[in-house]
Amino acid sequence: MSNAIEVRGLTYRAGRSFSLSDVSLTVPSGSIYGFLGPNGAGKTTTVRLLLGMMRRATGEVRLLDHAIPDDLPAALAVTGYVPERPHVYPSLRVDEALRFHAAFHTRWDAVWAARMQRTFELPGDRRVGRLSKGEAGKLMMLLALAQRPELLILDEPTDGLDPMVRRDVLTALLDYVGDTGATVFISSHLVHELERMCDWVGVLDHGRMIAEMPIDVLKGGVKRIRLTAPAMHGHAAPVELLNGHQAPFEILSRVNDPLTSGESWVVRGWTDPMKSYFDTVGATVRDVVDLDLEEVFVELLRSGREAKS
Amino acid sequence: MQHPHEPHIGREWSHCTRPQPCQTHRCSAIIAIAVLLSLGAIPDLSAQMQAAREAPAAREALGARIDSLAAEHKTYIREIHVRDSLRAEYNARLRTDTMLIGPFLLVSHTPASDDVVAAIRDEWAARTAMVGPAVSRLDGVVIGLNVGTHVIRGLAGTKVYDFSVWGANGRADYRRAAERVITSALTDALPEDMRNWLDGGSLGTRDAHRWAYRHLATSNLPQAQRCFAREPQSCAAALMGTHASGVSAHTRSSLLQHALDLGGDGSYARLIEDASDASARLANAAGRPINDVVLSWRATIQDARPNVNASVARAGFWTLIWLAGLALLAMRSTRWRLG
Amino acid sequence: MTRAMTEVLRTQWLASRWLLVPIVLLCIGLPQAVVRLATRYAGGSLDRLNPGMTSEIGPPLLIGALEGLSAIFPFLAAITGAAIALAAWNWDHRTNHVYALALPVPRSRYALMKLWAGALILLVPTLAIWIGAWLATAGVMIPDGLRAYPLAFTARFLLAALLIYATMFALAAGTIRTTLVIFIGSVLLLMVMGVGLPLLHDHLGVDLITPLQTAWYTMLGWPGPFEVFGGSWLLIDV
Repeated sequence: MSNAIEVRGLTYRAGRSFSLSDVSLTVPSGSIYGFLGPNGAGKTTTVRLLLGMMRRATGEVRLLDHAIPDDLPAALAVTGYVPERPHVYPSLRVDEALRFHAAFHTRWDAVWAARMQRTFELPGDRRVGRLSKGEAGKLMMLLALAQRPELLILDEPTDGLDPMVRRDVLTALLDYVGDTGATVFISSHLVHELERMCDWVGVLDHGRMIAEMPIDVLKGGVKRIRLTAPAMHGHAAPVELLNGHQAPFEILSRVNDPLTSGESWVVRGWTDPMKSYFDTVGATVRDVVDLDLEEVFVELLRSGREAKS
Repeated sequence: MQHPHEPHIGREWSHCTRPQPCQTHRCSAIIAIAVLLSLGAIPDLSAQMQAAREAPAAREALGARIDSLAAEHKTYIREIHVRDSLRAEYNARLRTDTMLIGPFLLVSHTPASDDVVAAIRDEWAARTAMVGPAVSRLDGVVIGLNVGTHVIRGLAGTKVYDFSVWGANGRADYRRAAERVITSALTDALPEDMRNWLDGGSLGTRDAHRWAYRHLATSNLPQAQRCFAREPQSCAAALMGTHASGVSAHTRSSLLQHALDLGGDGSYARLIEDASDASARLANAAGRPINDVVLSWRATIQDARPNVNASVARAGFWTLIWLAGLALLAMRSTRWRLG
Repeated sequence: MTRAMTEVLRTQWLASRWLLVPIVLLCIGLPQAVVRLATRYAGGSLDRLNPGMTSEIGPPLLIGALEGLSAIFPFLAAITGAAIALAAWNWDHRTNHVYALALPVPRSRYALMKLWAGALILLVPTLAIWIGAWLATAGVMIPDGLRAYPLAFTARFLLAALLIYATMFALAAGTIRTTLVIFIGSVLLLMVMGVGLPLLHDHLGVDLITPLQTAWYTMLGWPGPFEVFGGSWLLIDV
């Protein structure tokens, strides 16, 4: 099994205002896949479609080689799920919730769960509905991990948590992944958080996948390039000669740089030998700057929206 | 033309404002039959007239006989007029369906359903032999089939027995309604002393014995309690007394039905023959002494105790079947709930 | 019973236990109240411990009074069944069913486990009604010819409550949209039956009343689903 999640041509429509169009993604086994997207992009909908909680219009979904929704119980037996909001019955006490969850999962690790309950300082006699946001977040992660899943699907698991709790939760997650080699599909708009842990990234915007690749490739291939070009004074700018078809890279954005009388480009697919390409049109590359994931994410969204408009 | 006492003559569906030709023919035929009946008595009358000349007592008897024949003739004529005017008036009033089923004229404003007709026919067929020659007492009985807001009202000089389909639940209820109508008509045709004895009760229906059991078992009057619980011999006195004896109309209906059942064919006819009192009539109908009738009736009643547990068991069986169906329905609970 | 079934039962018990408190109290108290009222109406004393007060109860009056007062028991059974059914799905509805849908069991099996758990919980009010019925009938002098039927009464209560429970459960198992469609459809059907069909019959001669009525009475009579409500609910009968 090479891919933990395979989605092909997934389409879903909810009313007139929102739809997922032809979403395809592949999550390699053993990877930590960051599913990025702005609010309202369709991340939660995609997660629910993956778990067979909603009826898709078209497309195909496979989790751990199980077709969804036909083989859903088998898939869910080896998949841990942390939803956007706590989903456990709020009137149950923590201990009762753990016992209920354990009864449905044959791989439940009671010893590990008890240890994590102590580590997370979760009071067993408190009702789930009365837990603080941080405690609820810990409980959700505990429930998902204690069932010893091969795949974890996490929907904004740290959203709204304070830094301490966030670190506890993510540490537990990474420890588990380190021990078991499980695959993680984590949906979030907290880009910094994903940058440190993910090895694959998919970006969703307005119900469409606009990028999917290993994070190294994404970050390494997207650069900010500052150019000076003598021909810009009254003549045709060399940049005008560089269009998407001719250039060996993709220009995500282009802005004038008033300080240098040059331009600042964000390009995808950059490699250093490409500097020579600018020489051929009389422009000079002043410097090439690495972007962090958040900047890449913003540039991707911007270029995607410009292309669409 | 068919004789009116045959189970079914046919259906007439018309908007006529005047009697149908067949009605006129039937009217004539019935008058002819009445005249022939009268003529049939002539040889007998001649002999009696000869005897009357010879003896004053015989003369008086002859006078009485003539009076009775005249009265009988008047009754026939009146019934013929009533029936024909009824049919004419029903047909003239609205869209009317009239149908003869046995001695009964079924009248409705819409075509009677096959189930209703079958119910009346079957219930009558079950009693035809019991009624025997007394069927003539039912001539002119009208059954009004009331559907929706249309109500068949009685015309002057007639009584309409209401067969309402409101609240009826299929064939079983139609049978029950038909039974009620027919037993009411048979009860009304009983001699007055018998009706008085029944004290408002009617000829028994199929539930009569069960009701009798319930009434006897719940009676707080000593005679009824003795009859029911301890002293079978006291039953005859209790039953044949007045209503003050503590025996309800339901109980009397049950006894009457039992006597008719014992008597078999023609038992109703024997019931309405001349007799001194109700007990003699019941004995006549059953064809055995009244004490025997009462004792066997009591045994029947004791067996008719409503079985509460059995009714729960039956309901339980069907409830479990429905529960299984509902469980299947619940299992189809959809998982497509979000979005 | 599997662990999952045990947990579903436990959860449903937790969800419905506070609803059960008043129901159980009613189940124990109402039979006694009904029998006491009926015997008082019938003019008798009911206290075996005080023979001086005992007099013969008028059986027809007793049965009559019981028949009138016992009309409350079908309602009690219906309320019991409906309460347990609604409690069964309440927590799922509150969490949008997300948790249940993420459990590794087929939806049909999950629904069946919940149905079965609720049916088991119904045994609690049934036990209460049996105790109530037994106490009610053991405490009175039953006249000759009459008998007490606490068990048959209890069985009828259980069947009626189960039936309403299963009906409400099946309805609640659907989506809110399905439930609304069924509810609005029923109201419309009643309106049509009450107003439209008689007009149709009177003015156009189209008789749709009879088949609909037949369907309605079939529901309430044999072999309809609600036949059990139509039988005798008397604690004391012939």
